[in-house]
Amino acid sequence: MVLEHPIQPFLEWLPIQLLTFLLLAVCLVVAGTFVGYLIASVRHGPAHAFGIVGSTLAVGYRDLRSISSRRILGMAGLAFREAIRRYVLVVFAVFVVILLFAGWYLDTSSDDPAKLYLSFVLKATNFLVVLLAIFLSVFSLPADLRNRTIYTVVTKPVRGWEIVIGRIAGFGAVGTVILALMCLFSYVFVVRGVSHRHQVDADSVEIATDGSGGWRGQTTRDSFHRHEITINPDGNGVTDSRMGHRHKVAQSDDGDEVKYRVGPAVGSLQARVPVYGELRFLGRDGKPADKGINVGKEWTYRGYVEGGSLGAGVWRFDGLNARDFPGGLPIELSIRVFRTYKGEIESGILGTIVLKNPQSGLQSEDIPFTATDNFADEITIDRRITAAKPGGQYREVDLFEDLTDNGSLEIWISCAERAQYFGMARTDLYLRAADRLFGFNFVKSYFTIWLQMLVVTGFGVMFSTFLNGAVAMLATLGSIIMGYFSQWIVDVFTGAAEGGGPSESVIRIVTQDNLVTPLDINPVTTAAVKAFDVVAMAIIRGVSFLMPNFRDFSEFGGMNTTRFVANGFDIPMNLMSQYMLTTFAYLLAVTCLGYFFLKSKEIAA
Amino acid sequence: MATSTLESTTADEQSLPEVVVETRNLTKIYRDFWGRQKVRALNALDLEVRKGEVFGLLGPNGSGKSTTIKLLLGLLFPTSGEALIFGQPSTDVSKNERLGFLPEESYLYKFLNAEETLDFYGRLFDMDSFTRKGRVDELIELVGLNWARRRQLKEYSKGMTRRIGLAQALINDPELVVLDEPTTGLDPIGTREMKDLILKLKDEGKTVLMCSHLLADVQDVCDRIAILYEGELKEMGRVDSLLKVKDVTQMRATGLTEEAQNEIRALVEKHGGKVLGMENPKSTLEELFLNIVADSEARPGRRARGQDTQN
Repeated sequence: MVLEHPIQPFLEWLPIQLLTFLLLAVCLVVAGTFVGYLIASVRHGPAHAFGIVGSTLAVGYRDLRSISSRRILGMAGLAFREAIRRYVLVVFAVFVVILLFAGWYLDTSSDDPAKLYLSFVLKATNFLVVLLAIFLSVFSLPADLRNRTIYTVVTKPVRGWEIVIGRIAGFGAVGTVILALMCLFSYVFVVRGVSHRHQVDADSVEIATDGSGGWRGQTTRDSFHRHEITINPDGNGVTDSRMGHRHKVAQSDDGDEVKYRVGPAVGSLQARVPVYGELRFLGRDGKPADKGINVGKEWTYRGYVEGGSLGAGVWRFDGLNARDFPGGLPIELSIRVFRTYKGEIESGILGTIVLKNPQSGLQSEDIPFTATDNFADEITIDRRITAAKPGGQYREVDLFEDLTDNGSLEIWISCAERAQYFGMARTDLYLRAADRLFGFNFVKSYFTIWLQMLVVTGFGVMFSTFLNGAVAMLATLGSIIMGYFSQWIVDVFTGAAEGGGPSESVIRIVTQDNLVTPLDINPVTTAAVKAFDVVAMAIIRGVSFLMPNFRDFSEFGGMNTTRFVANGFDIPMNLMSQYMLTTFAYLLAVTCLGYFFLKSKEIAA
Repeated sequence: MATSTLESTTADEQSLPEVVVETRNLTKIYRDFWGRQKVRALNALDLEVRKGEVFGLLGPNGSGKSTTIKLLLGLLFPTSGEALIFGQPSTDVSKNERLGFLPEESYLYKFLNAEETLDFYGRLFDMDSFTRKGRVDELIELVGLNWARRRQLKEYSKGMTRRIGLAQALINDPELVVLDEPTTGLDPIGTREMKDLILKLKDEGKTVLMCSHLLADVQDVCDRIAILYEGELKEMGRVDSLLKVKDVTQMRATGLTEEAQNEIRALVEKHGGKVLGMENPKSTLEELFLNIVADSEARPGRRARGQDTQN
């Protein structure tokens, strides 16, 4: 799985984000007070406006102190009933229908059907729930104002805070119910979708030629694939890995007839816990290099090392201990291959793995492996391993006691074939700690969708305190889209993305002008257009920075974990905590904004 | 003379009950998006409603009575002047603890049933579930909707909605009840019941502020009234004194013989009076109201000050 930037540890992430949040909060408070003062002074004169702004803030604080959980529950219950009685459960029905028909269109013959199923259900849920959150949240308050039902509410001792928080909580509760149902249904859908059984093709079974005393053979072809099987002399065996899973095979002999039993698919739905290290490169002369060789790819995510040279990729892992890896050290690696000549295309390129103690220099024997492009390899290193110091005698050592130094270990990967290249990035090699439960990981992913839903609901309710339903919907949708494209907006702003700002783009669209050529209009107009765009883009960039980012790339701060689950990786709790805190910060901000918008609104105007 | 009036007023004020609703110079101007004045809905209104009174705001459509109510409830913000309830500014939410409001049409959530409606409003007063349940049962009984307590309000008739609206206004046993057109949409029996209820509230010592254009209703229940026309206060005072026809003396007596009556007539004529009839009818509130409207149209500048018209 590609992770362009490492996930920041929570304690590193927190201070920076907290500081940013506080700074932004202060800026927003100052800006809000100033705008409030301007509006008040236009209406009531500059002198009187001071009092108005001051008393609004004081009343806001007093109202905050008299918040009652019973009133919030009352408001939340109302929002919940409103949603349910307006048939929002239809959304769930739509979801079920989508699931029913999805089976027709999902390509179950793909290499990794589990990934396909998972990313499909998660994306469908995400899309539907975000839409639902928008529709639920933006129309309720405006309808209350239009029908004047709000008159009977605001003439009770209910605080603006309670109206805003109650709405968010109520719609959040509706979303929770729907999301829980969706989670259950999609779990069943995925599990059923990837489960399948094979039989052993009895005719194909023959005694293994490697002299082990076991058997080899094939399964029947089911769900678009078949497996090769290897059965040990004791009658237990396992299939090879196809489409991301294996099966256990058991042989039994009741005298007349040999019977085979193939177990359910193992490994298609998993939650791997990768332990990542830090990657550094050695150049072809064996000396440290800043990065790997560039083989001419635009994407500089991976660096390459040359085969048959001293070049290597070196991962350093810290804090390892035998307790976390009781059955030896499982290494998973997916090395890219770049060939300068074709060679034998079927067989892959040979490489070696060497484990090294970074302090003493003790290093293991070369462990050979074959790398095929885009194919992950799993190698488990035994605890007892043969190693030697440079120039010394090989002897058997303990991996954790001798090869690691205070939990630090280096893994060197080099390419053994001359003039071929291995491409590597930090996440291409990791140690696989004990797996977590897939079901729990699935729920965690739904939890992230739940957080997204809360943020969207918060924005919807906040906008609906001062905009009418349709406009509030557009504003909420606009916020999500801006957040989603925030990285691209930054790129346009900094010039990394070609084509210019809004007015320049319009001109290019109308004149069908190429993105990379200079604008073909007179210099004065060009200057004016550019100047306008700089200001516009600065504003857009500033706003998009404040918006929530739901993009499927956690490196851009996007709150989306689909990729982890779909690729079979456990969602780190660290990331979950970051998302939870981010959600809380957004809810805090929109609640405050919603309160002051509501407070400054003439309900009956 | 002037001094003695002043003294008596001061003395009166000391003995008068506390002021529950007060407006000082209350003005509301509606503006358009650009801040241009559209309508002056209320102009420098001074009002005082005291504890235990039933006070009526009268006026034709667009006279500013609804605006006044909305300003008092904090649903609108005054352009200038002040609206105070229990001495607190009307925008202060905490005043709502002691207030009940029945809007013009019962703006209630149609997807709730009667019980849920009252339970919801009870929650907004932070009542615990035991108190809430008791209060809900009591009020449903009071407004006579026990038979329909589980039906969603969208199935309710107008009269039933009105009753449940009234029940929600009384959920907190308020000291001040604000009723916006309380009898609209009610049949004569419903109207009678509503009036009886208002008088019952008065007996319980509650203050009632109502606005209406149904004059007979106002006449029946209000102690004092204010008449608004085009945003201005035109008349304010006690209903009985306002309706008194001042230059006519009415006397009711029984057992007078023809001679005695003639004697009285002679006596009246002797004093320069003229007997119009032995039974003098009282004018109706309707007449007074229409006169004021006609007078205001003829002489637009005239305004009543914020005191009762003296007897």
